[in-house]
Amino acid sequence: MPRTRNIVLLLGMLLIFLFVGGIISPIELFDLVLLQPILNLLVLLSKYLFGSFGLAIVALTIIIRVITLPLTMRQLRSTKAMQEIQPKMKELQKKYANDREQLGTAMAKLYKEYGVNPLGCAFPMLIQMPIWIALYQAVIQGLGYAPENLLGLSKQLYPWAVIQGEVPLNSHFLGLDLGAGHWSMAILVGVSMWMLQKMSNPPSVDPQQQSMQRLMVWMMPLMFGFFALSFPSGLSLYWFLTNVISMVIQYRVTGWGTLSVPSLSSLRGGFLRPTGTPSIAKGNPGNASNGNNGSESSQAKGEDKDTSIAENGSAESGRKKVSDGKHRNKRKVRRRSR
Amino acid sequence: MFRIKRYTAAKAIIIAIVLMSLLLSGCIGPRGWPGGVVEGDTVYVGSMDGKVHALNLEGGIRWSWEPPVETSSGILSCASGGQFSAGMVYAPPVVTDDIIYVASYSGKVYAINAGSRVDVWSEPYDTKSNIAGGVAVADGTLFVGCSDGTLHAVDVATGMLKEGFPFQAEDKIWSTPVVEDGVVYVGSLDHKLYAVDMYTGELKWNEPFEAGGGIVAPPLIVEGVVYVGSFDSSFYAVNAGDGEQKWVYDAPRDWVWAEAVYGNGTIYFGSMDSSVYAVDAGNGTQKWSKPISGPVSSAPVIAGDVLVVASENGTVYWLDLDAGEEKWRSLSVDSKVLAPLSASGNEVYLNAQDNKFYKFDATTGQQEWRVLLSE
Repeated sequence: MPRTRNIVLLLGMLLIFLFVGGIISPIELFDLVLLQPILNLLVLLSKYLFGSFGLAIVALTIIIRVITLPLTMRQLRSTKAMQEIQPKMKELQKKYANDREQLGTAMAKLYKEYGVNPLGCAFPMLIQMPIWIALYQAVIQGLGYAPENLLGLSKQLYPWAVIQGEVPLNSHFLGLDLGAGHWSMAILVGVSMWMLQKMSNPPSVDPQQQSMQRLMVWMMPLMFGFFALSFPSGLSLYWFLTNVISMVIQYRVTGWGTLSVPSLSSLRGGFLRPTGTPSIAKGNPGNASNGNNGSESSQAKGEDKDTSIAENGSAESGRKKVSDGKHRNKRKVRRRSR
Repeated sequence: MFRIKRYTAAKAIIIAIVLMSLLLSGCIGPRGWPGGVVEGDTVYVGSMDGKVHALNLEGGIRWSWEPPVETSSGILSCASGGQFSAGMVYAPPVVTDDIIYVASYSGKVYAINAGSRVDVWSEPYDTKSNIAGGVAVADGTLFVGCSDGTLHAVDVATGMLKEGFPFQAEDKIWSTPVVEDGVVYVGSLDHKLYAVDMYTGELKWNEPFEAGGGIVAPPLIVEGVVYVGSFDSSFYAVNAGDGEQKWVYDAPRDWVWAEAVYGNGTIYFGSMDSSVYAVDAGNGTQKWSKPISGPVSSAPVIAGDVLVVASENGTVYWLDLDAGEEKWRSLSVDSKVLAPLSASGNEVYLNAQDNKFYKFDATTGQQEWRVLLSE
């Protein structure tokens, strides 16, 4: 960590030197480091993916998600670890209700004990923000919708013949105009965002937090859906794919979360389900779930041990294992056996 | 709990801020680059707010015409194709027989009586697509290209589409068409240069001329040869009769965006690589090239015996036609310059992106006056 901090500090000082010295402006740096690579990569991908800008966005999304996968995993593990130490945090808050200094010390000790970085949840998300902005600019400029966008594009393209003649890119993909907003993308973005929110929200016994989560579960999809109506569909496509990939990763790490989905077997009437096969559904007490729906199970989950923490070598002793469903148990067993 | 709540709220706020900044960055940008044109003792020029102004040669505004207010169709009015401000204009107006024709990015073409300032047509001609070029008028017909790849031919008497049109290209037509001997020449972002019969809408050549990149520069036609630059960093000479390539000049290192100008057997053009080139019109050999301070996206002009070029960063150069040497010291207008320059005799007119319209004297390289077209 100190090494990472030193690198970050050095980079920060270098940036301040560059900005203050007038060597490069923040916008130029943003263009150089993010916008130009993304834009030129999109143009290249488009050229080799049958001239389809849509496929280029799909490929770019996968590339970006693969590159940021370690950060995403860190975020998810950090979030999960934070959820799991909530009961202990609550105990400490009760214990040191009148002594904030002691509370802070105890909290820090708790974080250290469990290897949790409270900022670990926010950092990966912050990292993705500039990528969104760069991709947005890349889509707008790459498609060259307005003459100003196309004119600006010439300054962002690398002087390679393979790229120069390729613009503007073909804006049509699966019947969509990637440069214009479309209601279908707004729905896809909104629904996938809602599902992701449901999956990623930790169960809570705190009514205040529950109301906050309810707000987030609806606010985020509505906000993104609304923006998708006006933003280019190319960016909405990126959001949608990112959500889908995030859901897959989230499922691998934390399961379905508070998302209630009917199991395949229940859709088939249940009679096709092999004996002992659990449902993936959550939220239905009748289903075999991974146990973090409702206050009772959330408490259980709060006491659960995250396999990733165990992998990280953090404290494990004295913690109960609570089943998250058989399929999840199998995964844990596999990990432990490794 | 507090941290989780704080984190959740912070996440929502951060995302909202980023989305809003995305939105705002999408809303800022397109403004148009209307140029000016001199007709007799009047200069007609467009401004960034979509108005057309008539100026006397001393810079006094005689009158202004404003297009009707149109609401844009997007929910948040930005980032989507076709949802920008209605009044933006990307080319100088065209004046023929006392009628001013101006095409707006909203897709509408207006015909205004220069004397009475009333609309000639009962309603503007609507192409139903964005227009990012200018119009050409010849033999009672107006031609205009659109973002949906169509080339429209409009009867100037009635304001109606002519039979055989619109002609369809494979990508956006942002190049201003040029009419010569009954043929409309127009470039497209599909990399092609089209020659279309102005009366029938049929292709004149067996197949369109294909360049290595998109074409937004209006073609220049001189003595049966079409000269046009492309995004493949090349400049082409094409036989107007059959569409065969005569020569190609590929010295530029970036796009050729703006129209070329012809004088003394030489083609002069600027490139986005921040250079001006002079090429022999007959065989495409370079006569000279001159590096300048910024990319060139506004068409240069010849005023007297001076080539006047404006770089995007607002520096105006006065170059000797034969050697490309600076005849007068360059000057700056402190604003971006994207609109094509215009000239009448030794007078040069420049419409800058800060809405100021300039007049220069090419015999001295000095500014005569400037006028703020609108706030």
